[in-house]
Amino acid sequence: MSSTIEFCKIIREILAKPLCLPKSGRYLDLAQVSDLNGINPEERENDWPDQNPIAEATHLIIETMIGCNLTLTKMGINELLKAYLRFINSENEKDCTELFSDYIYEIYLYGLKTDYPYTDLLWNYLSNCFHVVSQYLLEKGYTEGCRIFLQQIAAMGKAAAQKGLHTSTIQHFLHTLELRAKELNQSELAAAAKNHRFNLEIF
Amino acid sequence: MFNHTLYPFIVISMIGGLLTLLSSVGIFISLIIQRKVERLQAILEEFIDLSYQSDLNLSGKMFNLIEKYQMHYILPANPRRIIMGYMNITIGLTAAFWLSLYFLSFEGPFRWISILYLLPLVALTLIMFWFRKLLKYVINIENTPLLGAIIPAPKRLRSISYLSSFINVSVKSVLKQARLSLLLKKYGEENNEPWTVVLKEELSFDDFFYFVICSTEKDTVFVSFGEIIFDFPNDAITGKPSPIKKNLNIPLGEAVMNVEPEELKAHILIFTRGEKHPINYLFKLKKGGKNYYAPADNPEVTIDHQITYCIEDNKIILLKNESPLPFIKEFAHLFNLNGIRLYLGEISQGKTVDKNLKTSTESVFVD
Repeated sequence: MSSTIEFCKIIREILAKPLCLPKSGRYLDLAQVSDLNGINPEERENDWPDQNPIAEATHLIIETMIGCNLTLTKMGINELLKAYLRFINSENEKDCTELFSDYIYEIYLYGLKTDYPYTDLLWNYLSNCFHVVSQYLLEKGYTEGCRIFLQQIAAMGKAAAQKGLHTSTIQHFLHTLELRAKELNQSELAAAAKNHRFNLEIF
Repeated sequence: MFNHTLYPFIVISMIGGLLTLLSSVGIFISLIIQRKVERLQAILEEFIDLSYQSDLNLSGKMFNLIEKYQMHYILPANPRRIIMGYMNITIGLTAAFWLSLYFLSFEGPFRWISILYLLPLVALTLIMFWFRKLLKYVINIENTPLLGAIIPAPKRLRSISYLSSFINVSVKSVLKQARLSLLLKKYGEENNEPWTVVLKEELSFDDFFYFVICSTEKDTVFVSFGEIIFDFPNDAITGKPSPIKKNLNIPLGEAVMNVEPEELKAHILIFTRGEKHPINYLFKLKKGGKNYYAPADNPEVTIDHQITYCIEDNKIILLKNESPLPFIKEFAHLFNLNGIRLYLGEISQGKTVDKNLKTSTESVFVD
């Protein structure tokens, strides 16, 4: 069992590596190509996948979940989200948000497992983090990133509501976000937040 | 020609036949209604069971159950019309046959005493109409004295007072699913624009009395109290009844604040008919942006044992009040359950006068 500081160090080291987006690099991923014509698979046989620090970090976090160490799990998620806020910029906001929110969704899905004891606590922690992160995105003007992030949160919220987890935090923050977005004249984002809020518990 | 001695018997047997058919229709209807009532009771039971599991998020489920209940509650209009038409014709024909038998057997000359012979016909016709009314009540459960008491109308399921007084449900856990929250909003840009205070409910539970007090660290800035009761008409476009709604906003009134601090504290007391201690919500409202205050986290919800009340003649009588909250004593004589929301938006030097109270007339809205 590693100590908290050690774990923090490891995950920070991993996340300090440069970010690599799925579409960059030369490694042939069949799911990412629309048309194989014109690409010679043999030619690209020697292209190796890029390093994927986020996937590594996610894997590490899920390992702490298997060991039921909630403190480390929370810290891992915290570091992951902090890394996200560090990596995001106005050029990569869409891809970066998609990448990070997918991995967070993975962590969340593991948390819904029936033999994971801290589903409630983890969900509360995630909801609290989401609030701050999306508010930051909004204030910094990452509209597209914020929109994608909200979409992913709403999907998680919906799944959570179906499992009987409380969604009041999400509801509240979607509402405050909507008000704030209106104030900042981001009417499209405000409408999206409202729509997510109204659809959160319809199933 | 017909045999005059046999003909009345033919008519009598026709009447017998009609009445047998009518009674079998009665049995047929009661079978349908019995199934329906069983269904409704099962849903009701499921609904009540839900409200005991307060640590789960059940708003979605509760909403669906009430909608489902509404669906089973009303018999469609067409079968109702057919059944009523059948009954009207049968009862009309039977009464006509009876009357014609009187004519057949009447032998003159007319004497006033023979009016007495008509009495059984009058009594029977009256009873027939009574029977018709009973069956009508059974197929229209809505707002009728017969089944209304056993099977509550769908809109009663959103009534906290009904749930707490007739069914032993914890008000706290039901209200938890309603997720009350308070919001202060400014619509205009100007500085002296008043703040609109809105009570939000994720699920539209109603039929309770509230007392809201909003304060900065030193002063009270807003007081409001009244009864919350909704009346949702059928949907204007689809015509569907809506027993319960989501994301409801209740405008409580307007507050004027001279200073605008970063944080406000708000208490909401909830009084319901079936309880004796109110429920106390404590909100910490944080200022977000320029134009609104919203709760920073989930409210603290407790049962306030410092206040004991009872309700008599739609009036709340405080039997014991040791609560540190101000203004309860001053306004206690105005705590009436009459569907009106009163508020005090400007409080100068902590003094209040009843006539400064204003009525909040804005209607509730979904947002």
